[in-house]
Amino acid sequence: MAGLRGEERAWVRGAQAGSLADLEALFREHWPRAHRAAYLVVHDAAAAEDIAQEAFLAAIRSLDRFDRRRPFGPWLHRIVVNRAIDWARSRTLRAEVGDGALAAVADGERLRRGFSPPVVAALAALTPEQRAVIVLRHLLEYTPGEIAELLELPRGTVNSRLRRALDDLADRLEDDRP
Amino acid sequence: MNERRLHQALVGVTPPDEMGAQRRSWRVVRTAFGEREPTPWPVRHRRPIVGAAVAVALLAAALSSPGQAVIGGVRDAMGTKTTVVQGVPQARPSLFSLPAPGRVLVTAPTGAWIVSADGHKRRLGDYRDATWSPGGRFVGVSKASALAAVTPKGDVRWTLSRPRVHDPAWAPSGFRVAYLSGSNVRVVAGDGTGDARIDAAQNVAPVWRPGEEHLLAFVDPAGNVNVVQTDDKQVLWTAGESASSPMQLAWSADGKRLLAVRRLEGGRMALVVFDGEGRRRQYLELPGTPADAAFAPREHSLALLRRIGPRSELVVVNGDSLRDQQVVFSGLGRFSEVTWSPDGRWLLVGWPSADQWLFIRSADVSKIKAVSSLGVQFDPGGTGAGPFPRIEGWCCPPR
Repeated sequence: MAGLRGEERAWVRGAQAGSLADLEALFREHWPRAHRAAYLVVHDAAAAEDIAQEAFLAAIRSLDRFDRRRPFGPWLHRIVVNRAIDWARSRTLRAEVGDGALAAVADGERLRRGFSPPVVAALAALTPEQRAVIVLRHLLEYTPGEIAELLELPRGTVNSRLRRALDDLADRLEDDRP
Repeated sequence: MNERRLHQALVGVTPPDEMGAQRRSWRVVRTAFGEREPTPWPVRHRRPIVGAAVAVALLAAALSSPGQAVIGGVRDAMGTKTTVVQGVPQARPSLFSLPAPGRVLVTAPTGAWIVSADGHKRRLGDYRDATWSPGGRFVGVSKASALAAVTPKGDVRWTLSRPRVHDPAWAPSGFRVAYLSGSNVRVVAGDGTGDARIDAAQNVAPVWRPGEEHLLAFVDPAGNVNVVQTDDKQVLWTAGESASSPMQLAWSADGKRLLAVRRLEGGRMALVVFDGEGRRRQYLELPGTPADAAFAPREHSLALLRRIGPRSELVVVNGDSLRDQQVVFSGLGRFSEVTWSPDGRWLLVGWPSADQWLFIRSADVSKIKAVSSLGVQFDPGGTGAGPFPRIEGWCCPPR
């Protein structure tokens, strides 16, 4: 981990100096987890791609101000997860109006995308906030204290949200068993 | 499920088209990185100093005689002071009717408008760009941070917030709308759902290939023309070199020809015509700076506007034999857009320098109907100052 951290600092320094190769190394290292985290929160492949990409673009815009002593991952994940929560909330709230025929086409597309693994389906039934803490804790492996910092929440809130999310997830996976 | 198994399950999840998403995003990120301007420290201290220096320089310039000339030039550029050339004599003072069935979609500084066949104008709202849906049932409109679908009466059906939205294009199937958002080309379903980025793109309006398939032509950041199946984001073909960095793309009505218009150095231009499979069929360099081009509704004829010196020309070109050309109309100043009537019998040309629209009969080009004072007509109660109303399309009659 220390080796990777040193390498990452060098990539950030290189990218700040304009090195495309170093930026690419940063991108290759962090894209898969950022993209997967976004996908698990929003459950929409196109939106996940957008969110992860926009997070990297935001990172590039702020690259010159980035403190190299700090790790790049949490900085990126903060952007990804917060944007994913915003997107998922707005999707829940947005009442889209359209032609019946057009809506049917859109639904057909969703069906063609196929079935998800049980854990993904169970995760989809949680609230965006619950999905986010599950992803931060169990995919990106942050501690509850770090999650509290990333989401700007009290640590107690993170703990209770995590507990409830895990319980709900367990219930849903239990229900799905034949 | 214990925590270890949950971690393994989450790590094992693969988002659909993960590699494609990574590839597309890397292209966008790489382009953005190439375009970024490193911000040297301490920029936040420098900005007020730069601002003050600019203010002092402007004040000094304004107080001097040459400075007044500079300010006059700026006003010209802002469109509040224009040089009007003599247009077609005996032009109608107002738009009383269209010479062919259908409705014309217009964007002006006052917003998007629909002009009916009887000349009646309806303002849709404060939008900058607009596109007809097939059949004219809806209009796709955009402003700086939103894409929307509105009815021809101006009722909003859905909106989508996105940064720097422009150049919407409604697919011929009716089920997709393409648009540019910043440096990306994106597609959303016709009901406003399923918005997705397709790829990074240059600032050239994307165009749908006619037909039920969702094939979109756009220009990527390297200047190559790409045709992509937007439902699965598969690039069908890419063309660079001769068609590099075009300023406009246009499909023929049968989808068998794709025109790329390039601006060359030295006041010249190039027309490149591809077939539906991406094979280059025609290439021709010719004098003039291109302004706009449009294929006829039923054949491979295309109308081309170009500027040569102080004059502009409307040229009709055979898309299957580019040397086969006819200059249909020529006038002083600048022509802006050209569009065909839905029946293909009339051409509508914007002539900002004369503050006129010209309706030109395609079968008998001596028949010209001109309408003047367009700026004021789309600025009721105002002066009509600002950019000339832009013709976005001439669509089918209402059902």
